[in-house]
Amino acid sequence: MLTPTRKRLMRDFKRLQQDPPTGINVAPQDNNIMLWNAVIFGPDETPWDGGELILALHLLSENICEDEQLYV
Amino acid sequence: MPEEDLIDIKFRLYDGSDIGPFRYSSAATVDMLKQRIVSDWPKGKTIVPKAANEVKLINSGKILENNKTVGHCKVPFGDVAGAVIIIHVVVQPSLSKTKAEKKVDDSSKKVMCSCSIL
Repeated sequence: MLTPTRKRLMRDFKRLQQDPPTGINVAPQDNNIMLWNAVIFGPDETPWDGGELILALHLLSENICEDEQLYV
Repeated sequence: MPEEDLIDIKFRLYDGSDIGPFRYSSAATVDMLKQRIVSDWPKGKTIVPKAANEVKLINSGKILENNKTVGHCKVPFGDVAGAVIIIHVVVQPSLSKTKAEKKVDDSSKKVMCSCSIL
């Protein structure tokens, strides 16, 4: 069922595909818009410089502003 | 008519600039993409990869492995056929940045008292 949350996520994803921000790469996992893979490049002059942060973003609820879990 | 499995790929660098787009068949491997990036690296950048193994490619929230093919990295929900895929490029020089500015703290200064016997 295409809820407003899912529509919003699809829209965000399309926007990210067309013009991805420089330090971040993110996409939903195969056919599950509520579970995303993300890679954040270590910003310069930080302890993460030269590395990548690999994250899984799990959206738990249909209300997009609540209940997100982030796994590193 | 058979559809050609050609994919347009643009590479986005650390400073926001792009290389490409290049057209690849979906059977091309990630390693081939890396070779192309190294040979086509734009001039005038502060960081330049010397070899393909210094380059990491990231797409769909994952770091791409050398032996995977381009077709394998297809984006989920990719309903836009013929669109350009943008892959992020990270360069990790094999020698870490020379931290020649390592400051040696002089905190080991010995405090010396001198007594003079008059």
